This record gives sequence, C-alpha cells and structure tokens, in this order.
Amino acid sequence: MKLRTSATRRALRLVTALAAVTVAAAACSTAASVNSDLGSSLKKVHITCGLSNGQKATGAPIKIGAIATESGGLDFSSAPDSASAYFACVNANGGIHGRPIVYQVQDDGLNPQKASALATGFADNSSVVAMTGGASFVACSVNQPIYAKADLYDILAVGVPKACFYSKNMSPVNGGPQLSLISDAQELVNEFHIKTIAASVYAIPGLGDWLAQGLRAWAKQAGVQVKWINQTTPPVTDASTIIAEVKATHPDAYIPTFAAPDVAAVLKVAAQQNLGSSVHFGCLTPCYDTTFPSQIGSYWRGKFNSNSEFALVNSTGPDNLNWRAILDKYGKPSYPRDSFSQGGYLAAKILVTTLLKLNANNITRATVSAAITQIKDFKSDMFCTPWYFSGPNGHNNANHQLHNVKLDASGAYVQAAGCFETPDPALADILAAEKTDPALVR
Amino acid sequence: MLLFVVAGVAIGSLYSLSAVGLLVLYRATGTLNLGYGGVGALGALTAWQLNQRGVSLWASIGVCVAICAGVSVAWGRVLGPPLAARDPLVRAAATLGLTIVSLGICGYFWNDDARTLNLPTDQSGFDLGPAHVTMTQAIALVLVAVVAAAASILLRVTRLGTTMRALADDRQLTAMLGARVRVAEAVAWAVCGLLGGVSAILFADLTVLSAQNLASLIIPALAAVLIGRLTLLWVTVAGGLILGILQSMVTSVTALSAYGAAVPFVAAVLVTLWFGRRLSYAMRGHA
Repeated sequence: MKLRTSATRRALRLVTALAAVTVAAAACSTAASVNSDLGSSLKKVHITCGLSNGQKATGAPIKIGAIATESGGLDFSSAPDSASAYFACVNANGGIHGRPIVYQVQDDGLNPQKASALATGFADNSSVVAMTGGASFVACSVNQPIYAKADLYDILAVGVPKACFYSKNMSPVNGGPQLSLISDAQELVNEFHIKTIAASVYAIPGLGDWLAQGLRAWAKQAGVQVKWINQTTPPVTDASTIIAEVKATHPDAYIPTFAAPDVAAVLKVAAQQNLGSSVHFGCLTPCYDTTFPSQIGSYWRGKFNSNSEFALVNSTGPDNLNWRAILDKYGKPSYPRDSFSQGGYLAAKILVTTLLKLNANNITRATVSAAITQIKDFKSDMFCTPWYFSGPNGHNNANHQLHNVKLDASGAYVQAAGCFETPDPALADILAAEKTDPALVR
Repeated sequence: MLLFVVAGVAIGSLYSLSAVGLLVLYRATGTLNLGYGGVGALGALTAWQLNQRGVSLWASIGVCVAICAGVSVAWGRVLGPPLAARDPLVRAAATLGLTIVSLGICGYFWNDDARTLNLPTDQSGFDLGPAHVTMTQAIALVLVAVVAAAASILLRVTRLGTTMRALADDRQLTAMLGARVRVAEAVAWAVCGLLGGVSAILFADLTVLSAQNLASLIIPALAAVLIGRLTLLWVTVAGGLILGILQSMVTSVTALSAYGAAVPFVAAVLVTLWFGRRLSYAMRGHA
C-alpha cells in the first residue's frame, strides 16, 4: 500500500511539473508583438465606444447572444472575442443609457444540430433582444426559420456559408468567402494575367459547393479556365496530396479557400516542392492577419496574395485604430488582430449605435428587431462603402467592395488593390437595389 | 500516380507509428489509449510555443516527448491499477478524458492563428520520379520500420516483453508468478507516450499544427490497429501505410476528394465487420 501511495505521489508530481512547463510556455504569449505593425499610432488613440462617458453602467442588463464555431476542427472565436471586448468598453462607458450589455457567446462545435438547439434557446428567451458578432460555419441555414418565427435578428460578424447572405433575419458585416475568393482570383488576373485556376474548398454543405459554383460563374465571365476544384473535410490532413495535384496539373493559380492553419500547412508543402515560383498562390481573408506571414516563412515573400474583407488591419483610419485600442484595453493579448476580429468589432458597434437611438426604457426584442432592419448608411473607415442590414429579397451582402493584399519582399502585407468592386455575377440584384435606393449607401 | 503514392506513404507512416504505440500498450495493458492524439497536441503546441520564445528546436521537441511520455506514465500509474479489472471498453472510454482535458487546455492557451513547426529536415530531400521526397518524410518511414522492429524484439525476445505478453493473457496470474507487473505496465505507457510525442511532432510538421488536427490522429491509428486485429504488429504497420496511400488516392480524384478523410473510418468499419469475431475474442482476452 505504501509503495502504491508513493508511486501515485511520484506520478502526480510528474504531472504537476509537466503542467508547469506547459503553462509557462503558453503564458509566453505574443503580447509584445501584437501591435508592432502600428508603431506609435496606437498610443495616441482616444478610445470611443457607446456613450464614452467613463461611467460604469449599472442599470438593468440588456441580453445579446451570439453563435460561433469555436471547435470541431475550426475556430472563428476571434469575431465574438472582439465583440465582447467592444461591449466591455461600452459597459465601462455608460452602457446603453446606463444599462449594461450581457453578451452570451455559444460554440456550435461545427454541429448543425447543436447550432439549432442553441438558436432555439436564444429565440425562446425573450430577454435576448438581438444576436450580434457571431461567426458560424453551420448555423445560418438551420437558424433562419427559428429566428424568423421568433422575430429575432442577427448582425453577423462573419457570414460563411451561402445561407448567411440569403436569410432575411441575418446580415453579415463581412463580404463572405465567395466574394473574397472572386476578389482574390480577379486580383491574380489583373496582376499576373492568369489563364487557368484551381481551388480547394471545404466539403461543408452550403459552403464548398457554393464557392465552387461562384468561382465557375466568375471564371466563365472572366475568360479563365477552371482546371479543378476539389473538396476536403476540415481540418486538412492531406496537404501533400493536394499539392501533388497542383504539381500534376500545374494551373497558373491555385487558391485554397481554407482557414489559416490549413492554408499554412498547404503552403508549407508547396514551398518544399518549390511550387511558389511557377504557380501563383492566393488566399481568402483568413490568411490576412498580423501573425500569418511569420508562420509561412520567408519562401513566400513576394509570392503570395490574399484578400481582406475590411480595411487593412494596420490601417490608421480612426475606427480601425479604435478597434485595435479597444482590444488592447478590454480584450486579451491572445485575441487575434485579424479581419474577423474587425468584423466582431463592427457588428457590435453597429448594434450599440442602433440601441443608443432607442428609448432605454423600451428596449425589447420587437423594438430592437424593427430598428435593426432599418439600419442604413452605417459608415466606418473599415468599410469601403456604408453598410446596411436589409438587401433585396433577403440577399444581405452590403460589404462587396473589398481589398487585396500581397506579401512584399520584407514579408509584410501591403495593399495590392483597395476598395474595388467584386466582379461576382451574383451581386447583380444588390447593385441594382443600391442604384434604386441610394439611401442605403448614401 | 507516384506523386500521390509518395504523399500517401508519408502520411501513412505516421499512422503506422502511432498505431505501434497504441498496439504495444494494448498488448501489455488491454487499454486502447484514445487520449493519444490529444496529449500529442498538448505536447506539440507547447514545443511550438517554446521554440517561438527562443528555446532550441530540439529542446522543444524533447519537452513535447517528455510531456507525452510523462502524462502517459502518470495516467497508467494513477488510473491504470484501479481500472485494470474493468471492461476494455471502460478503460478505453476513460482515456477519452485525457483528450477532453488536453483539448481544453489547448483551447484555453492557443487561439486559432496559423502555426507551423518546421524541422531542418524539411529543407533537404531527393526526387523520386516526378515526386519530391523531403528528408522528414523519408525519416518518418525509416522510423516506423525501426520502431516496429524494436517493438517486435521487445515483445518477443526480452523478459520484459514476455511479462507484457503474459499480462495480456492474465494480469492477476502474471502478478502471482512474481513478474514485475507494474514496471511492465509503466514501460508500455511510456513507450506509447513517447511514440505519441514523436508522432505529434512529425504529424504537425507534415500536416497542420492545430489541436483538433493532432487529436484526430487517433482515428487512422486506431483503424490501423484494428487492421492488425489488435495483435499483429507488422500487419498493423502495413495497415497504416495502406490507409495513407488509399486516403491520398481517393483525395486525388476530384469527384471523390471530399471522402478522402473518411477512408480510415470506412476501413475501421469494414475490418470490424470482417474480423468481428476475432476482434471480439482479442478484446475478451483483456476483460
């Protein structure tokens, strides 16, 4: 018995020591380097959020919800994390006329059934007046009927599958993966005059097939030949096979439409095969963040293009600097400073701006929903054109002029093209609606 | 074709390496360690973090292996004996707790940024027809052969191996005969953890350094162990390689590419159906 006890103690000591190593290593976060891209600009920022009066909100709380994919192979938590930081700032600065915001974020685990259950929970709780800052790969299609029945509206930070952009009760502030893909592909045509293209998409219903369809429609219009579009389940475990296919078919350009960790794995194998010198590699917005270039290595300097659905993360526009300063003060150093974080900030800010226009004693789901559907002409230097919630017939895709960036010789992202209209044939109805009702984007 | 075979062998060798670790442990303790990938993820991410902060790559890898082996041995020491008399299914399910805890720690400390772990052997290699083989891929394949041979010798020739095999048949009887049961079990857990750490580093290098991806390594490894019917070492090694090649070939066909990741699942189901009775017998031996 004594032997067993001492063995157990030794084992527990061993685990404690190893845990200490892990925690110590993990604690060495990237705090020191997260703002190195902005130099001294950030120090001069005077943070603004909500009423900006410096008084802590103590009134009756206002409940806001969000559903995001944070596990299951993909993690888009940077969007709700950013929204959460913005709400913390608002609550420390007067709240909504004295009422603090209680923000509840739920992880759908890349599981549509769970997303549906979470949406039902929010919809059934009448004290939840709106949804904001969510970013899910699977929630939109299953949640739309639930939200419609409950008269609940969602300002999404990041819309991913098609349903997010074609649902009356939700409107994403980002451009979406289809526009991001087409914008990046068009940039490769403009810059390198590519004639053939290949792409990989996630095998997620409503996402992979939508992207493939969109790329083919654009390619037909642009006179570019699509060599192949393959599908893979996340996370990508067969980057070598994908790159073997690129090597075998040799398209002029190849765009993996994956999340950043998966793209990094693909680029690493491509670099080993020296494919970057003969094939132009592009990426969607997930690759555009402050840490990605250092992870993919020096091989890709001057050889890699990416899209950004918002202003560059190191741009010095007042709203962009405000986002970064709020993350510093109310967020954590570990929160990514990426495009999706920009989306979380914008979604939260749009909702707070809308709530502040309402009577603080009459903030109910009905009044908030009515106000959200009427959001028009929301301006920010992080958008190319003003944002609005409701598009034609539930086609909500107000952010359709995007940016493109590329890695320069020093390994830093620089703007390749700013604010150009995405040549997606599917935007025809939106462009027509904006022409008919200029108040949307005055 | 050769391009895809090379890609498949590279990934398949890691499935095999992981499967050997699982098999050695199973043959000694009757435990299918489902926490294998999760603990590997924790070790690999810790190694990445240390390396980012200036610790040398090899020292960081050493820490990863130490974490995996240490956690594995600690689990075997603390929870192995109380679970020894339980059903194999209960023992396997208990190790799922390791995965959940490991993934929880990873999720708490590391966000969704892209991370890469680069080994010096990635930069050199040789051409095999149209395919370029990196030294890392070649080393992974050689390592599988060496580890499988060593495991084979350990189990067949050494006294410790004899104890392990005796344990597999009857733990109580082996203990009554005076064999050092706990030492044998600790070595098995250590070997499993050590291979888990090495596999995690290589898997992170050849695929994606993310907790979810590394934790999922358990699935093809488990499929390979099932192909080896929970007993046959070299069949398990071959199974892992075949799974890697099949996965690569399926992914290379555009119309089937979405199903590439399903290959290990399908293989596991087919093997379970085909060898159902023998697998059941093999598992009963540990009950």
